[in-house]
Amino acid sequence: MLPTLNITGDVVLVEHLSHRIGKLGSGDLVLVRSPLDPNKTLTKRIVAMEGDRVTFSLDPTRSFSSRSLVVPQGFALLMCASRDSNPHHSTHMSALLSEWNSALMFVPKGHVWIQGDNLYVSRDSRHFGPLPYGLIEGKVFMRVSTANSIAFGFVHKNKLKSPGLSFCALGCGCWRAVREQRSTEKRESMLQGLCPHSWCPCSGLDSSPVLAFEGMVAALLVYIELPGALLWHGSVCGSCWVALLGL
Amino acid sequence: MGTPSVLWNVAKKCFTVGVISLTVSDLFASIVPVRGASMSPTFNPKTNSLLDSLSDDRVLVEKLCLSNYKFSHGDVIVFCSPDNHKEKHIKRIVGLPGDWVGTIYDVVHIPEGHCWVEGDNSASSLDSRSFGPVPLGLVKGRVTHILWPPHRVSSIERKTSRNRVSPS
Repeated sequence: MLPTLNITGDVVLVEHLSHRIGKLGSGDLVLVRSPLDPNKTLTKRIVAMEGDRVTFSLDPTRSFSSRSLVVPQGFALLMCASRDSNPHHSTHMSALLSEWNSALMFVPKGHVWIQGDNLYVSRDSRHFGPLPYGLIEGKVFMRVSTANSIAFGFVHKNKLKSPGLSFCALGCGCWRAVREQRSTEKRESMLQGLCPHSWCPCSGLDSSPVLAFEGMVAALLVYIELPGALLWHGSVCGSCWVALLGL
Repeated sequence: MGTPSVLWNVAKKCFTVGVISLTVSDLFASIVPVRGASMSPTFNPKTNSLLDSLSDDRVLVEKLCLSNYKFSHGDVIVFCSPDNHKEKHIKRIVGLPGDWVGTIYDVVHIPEGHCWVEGDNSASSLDSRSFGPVPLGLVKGRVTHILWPPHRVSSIERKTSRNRVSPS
């Protein structure tokens, strides 16, 4: 939990009311009893609630994106559909997509997904899976003191950005990776598999950067308003419709 | 001016008794009713269709075992349901961390910090066979005695089935 709480030990104020009346949401800092050792308690942040889907990377140092994303069901469908039906993926992108798809976890009923703020050293739901809600003991709402100086500060809700924005960030990340490639052929081959287009399983899209950007905006719009995005993107083929109607 | 001070004394006593009983029930022991027939030979042996809450068993749950979470095979425990934190179940521990438990379909290894619970009446019991191993942190106490129907007051003994569990 390094950016939020100190490594030397903090004293925090915990209230035991919110989890009993069900007022916890994603982004809250909670005190939980460790599922692996019931004598220990952990302080982690709730990332996703029941019913969400979570993608994550077990080893953030070697992965393309260290962020964990909360994915609504429709995106998972689209990603799976595109991986299965689009043969034009470059190896990099298909590896990325398969990594994300294989790490897609469904948070079952009555469970939450918790993670530490310091992804590199934290042992959390990425290791032991979704956590039963009954193990939550309280919500941390205030930090009272650090080890040598007393300082008050409220612990803020630090929610992950909305899935649409995160996906756009992913798209931008891909785009930056593409731009950094020196040789033209490599760039072309990577563009063919750029994620906004690979979400739409139509084959034969050309690889101009303008279209790639359009795909990113479309992906954002898909999250905000589905019908508008479909009209705007224009060229959505049959399997895309099936995937979207299955939402 | 006798009445207000008497009232004040009664209120103070009620408050003190309330706080003490809340502390005792939270830290040491409490009495809970048992509903349903999932533990049928042990609790609620007669399954009557009329939901007569007076005939339900009342059991004593001790919570001192929660200080170190040491349980043994055959203990009857109260725990929060992993699917719904508002429900509490009473089941018997069949397997502890590190054991291999045989079910109808396969043999399950119980991970660290979990236990395998099953009801005594396996025909009508929702237990680890449907939701898997239960984290020990969800355990809220150990059932030691039956208290309420006066002719059934007794302590609960441990029952183990050796042939299903193999320690690793």
